[in-house]
Amino acid sequence: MTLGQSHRSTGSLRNHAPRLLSGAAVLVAVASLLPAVYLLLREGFSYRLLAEQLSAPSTLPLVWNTIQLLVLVGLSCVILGVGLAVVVTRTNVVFPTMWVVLFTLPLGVPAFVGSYTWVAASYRLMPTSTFIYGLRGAWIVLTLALFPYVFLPTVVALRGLDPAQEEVARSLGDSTLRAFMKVTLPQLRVAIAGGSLIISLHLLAEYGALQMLRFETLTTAVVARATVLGSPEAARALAVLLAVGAVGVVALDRLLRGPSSSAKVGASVSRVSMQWRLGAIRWLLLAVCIAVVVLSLGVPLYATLLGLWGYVGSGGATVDWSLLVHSVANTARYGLLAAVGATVVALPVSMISVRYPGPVATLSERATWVAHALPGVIVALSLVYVSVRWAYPLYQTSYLLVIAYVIMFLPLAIAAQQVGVAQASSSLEEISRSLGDGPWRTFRRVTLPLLLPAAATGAVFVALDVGKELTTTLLLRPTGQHTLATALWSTTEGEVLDFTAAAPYGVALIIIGAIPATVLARRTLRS
Amino acid sequence: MLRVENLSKRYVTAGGPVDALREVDLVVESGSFTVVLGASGSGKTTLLRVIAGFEVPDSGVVTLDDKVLTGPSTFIAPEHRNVGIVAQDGALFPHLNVHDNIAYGLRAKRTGGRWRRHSTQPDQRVEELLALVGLEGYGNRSPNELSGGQQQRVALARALAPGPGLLLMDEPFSALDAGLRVSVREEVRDLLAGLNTTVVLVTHDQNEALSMADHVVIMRDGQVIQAGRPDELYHRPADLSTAEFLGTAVVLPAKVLVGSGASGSVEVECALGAIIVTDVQEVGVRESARLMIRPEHLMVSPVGSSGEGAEGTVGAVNYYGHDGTARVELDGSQQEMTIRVKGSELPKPGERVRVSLSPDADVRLM
Repeated sequence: MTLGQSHRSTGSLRNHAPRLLSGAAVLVAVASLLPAVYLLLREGFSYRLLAEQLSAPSTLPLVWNTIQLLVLVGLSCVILGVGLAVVVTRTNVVFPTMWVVLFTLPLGVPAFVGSYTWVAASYRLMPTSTFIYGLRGAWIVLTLALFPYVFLPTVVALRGLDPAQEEVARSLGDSTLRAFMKVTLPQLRVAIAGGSLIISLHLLAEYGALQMLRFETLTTAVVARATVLGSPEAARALAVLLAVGAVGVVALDRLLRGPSSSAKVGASVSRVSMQWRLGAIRWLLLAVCIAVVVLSLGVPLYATLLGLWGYVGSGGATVDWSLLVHSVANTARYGLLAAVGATVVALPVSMISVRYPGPVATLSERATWVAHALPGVIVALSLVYVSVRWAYPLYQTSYLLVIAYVIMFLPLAIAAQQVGVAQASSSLEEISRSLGDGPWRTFRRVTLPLLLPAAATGAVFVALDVGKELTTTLLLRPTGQHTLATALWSTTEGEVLDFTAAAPYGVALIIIGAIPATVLARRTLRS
Repeated sequence: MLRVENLSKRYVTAGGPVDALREVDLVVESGSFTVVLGASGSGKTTLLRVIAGFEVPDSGVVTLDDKVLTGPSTFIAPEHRNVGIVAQDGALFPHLNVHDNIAYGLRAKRTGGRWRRHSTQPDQRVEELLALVGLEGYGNRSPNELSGGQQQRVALARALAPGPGLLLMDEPFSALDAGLRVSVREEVRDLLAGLNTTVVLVTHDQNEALSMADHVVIMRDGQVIQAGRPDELYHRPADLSTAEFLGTAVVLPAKVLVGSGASGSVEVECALGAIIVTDVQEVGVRESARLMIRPEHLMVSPVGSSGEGAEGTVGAVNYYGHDGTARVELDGSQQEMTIRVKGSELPKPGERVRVSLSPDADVRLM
């Protein structure tokens, strides 16, 4: 790298960030760390008490359950995600574009809705079967819900790789399969590690689906102890374990990624890779593709439509239209507020991390990820504690709930905005300065307009995750307020097997979930 | 007039500190076209960025028309310098069309701390500038609908719009392909000559420097090596690497037979015979010296013809159409020299030739 480039990449007018910007970024980071700090620094906390709680006989099975789930679902998601990505990018399977869309859409089905529909379908088709409950059910349902997180980045990575590398391996005497294993697979490491990280964090945070499938993990236990069982000390002790697990998962991800960041390998490659001309085996692969779609999309749709049919069939007597309207309005309101809040709060962090890389930038960005890694239940508990102590007027208000959403989903906004900040390159800002605009006018006339599309994308993802969020909402919502997720949940409380009462909320959630999934699929296809 | 005095800037990189600028002095006359020429890493871009106000130097002073822009206790923000800049890739604002790109600096013109609109109406001014760069009717296009050359011309119009006291250009033609580069270069030079704008252009392309500049400044390792008219620098380079940077150079070992006196000329002995070299700094009789000759100042003639010079055998030849070069190895030496001749007079490989200096040859003692 020449000198000219090295300072151009970091440099605008000064070599270090403006104080206002670093100050704002640090403030955001500190606020993001609040839930983690709460766990350890809360008064009444002692390591003796923690040890006592952790050595309780009920704790070890919870840890074991959680680990089993992480390993099984993680592995099966990697196998399924990478396998399907190879099928759609490297074989002559029919309609590859359609499959990319169909394999992305499960992202739009919230895991607790998915598990509910599986329970409902199982009840409908095999009323006496308990096949779907426990580890086995959780494994199947969560794999089908989460595999797209590996599938999508792997498709992008496979398309971005330079086909010449595999061609060279072939010319050196490797078979197709051997060349793929030796040359291509190692380069998918970043995509697989990134996807696995998201999946693991989802699994650690998942409450609704596991409650529904009657599989107890650390998170379900924390929620139970914090709410129904009313033993907050025990909840906090388990939450510490959960937080350690989350940080461990993030650290493991760094290890898996390795030292080199080969994420952008061959970004400008335009040549299409060789396709494997498969014979009869392609029909087998087609059958696998169809099976995956039937299980991941077909089952939820079947149960939802059947439930809706039952709903209409029952004459609509039980339709609580006012609750449906109320929960849709609340979901929209919270989603909008959290999206705007996260967008504004993310701005200093995304600006500083792209423009002024350094310790402050790195630490504030990582801090927001720590908060994201913590399950929603911890965020909720810490905010309840803080608000009751120091900000009582906030307690039991929708503002507190929105603050929780902002803390939890901030990294989604930051990640999206960083792309936009990078596009509004500092050379454009310098040109604006030379044409007579000061820093603020330059921000308003150049940086902001160029950043806006990316920031809007981030805002959409925040809003949609808010719409699907269950645990935090259950714990923090003001009394009497419902979102679509909590309204659906309240029709069941994890007990009722029939999907009829839940169907309207399920339909609404699946429809709004399909939006980001479609956006993602289209982006992947464009890449 | 732009005056740069004693400018230094050091970067701390992973591989240790790097001196991007070392005590750089520079004077650019008003209305002149100055080209700063240097390889990548020579500090030329840093110099430009310091003048623009994008970098703060460790020490040194930059003044424009007697106003201090950067000094020990002064730093004028880029927006108050009245210095326009054309970036390497054009850096057009992608969210604005051509018209709004050019008009960008017109609304924000600031004098005496107060905002005012440009004296002429912005729209009218934009039309003038579009006409100036030959892009009438392109106002509504978006930047990505323009070719590279058109983008550079819009970038130039945008920088000129507020009427800058100084125009900086950072390798503005390097992104263009070879054929286009020459024609856009000529257009831009003629256009700027008509406006009497003071221009500082940095480039690593010696053809660009020699063909465009009134004044060339050569930089290496953060230092100014030499400054002067293009022909001065080409024929009288300060040292061998400058000579080779500006074009092909033939270097011959030589002996100084008679040292320079008041006349400023010396007599030297080299493979081509005894030569008088003029305009030499004080130098005494020396056994080992080097002569620098440009290939076009050497001639080939058939062997046997009487005259000065030495005989040799032609090695590889390169034919370029209008001219060509031949590499000739002189008899009794390992010395190979490149000679530029008309395309029609190019000898064949293996041919025996006599090599001599052309009558107007400018020979430099290094």
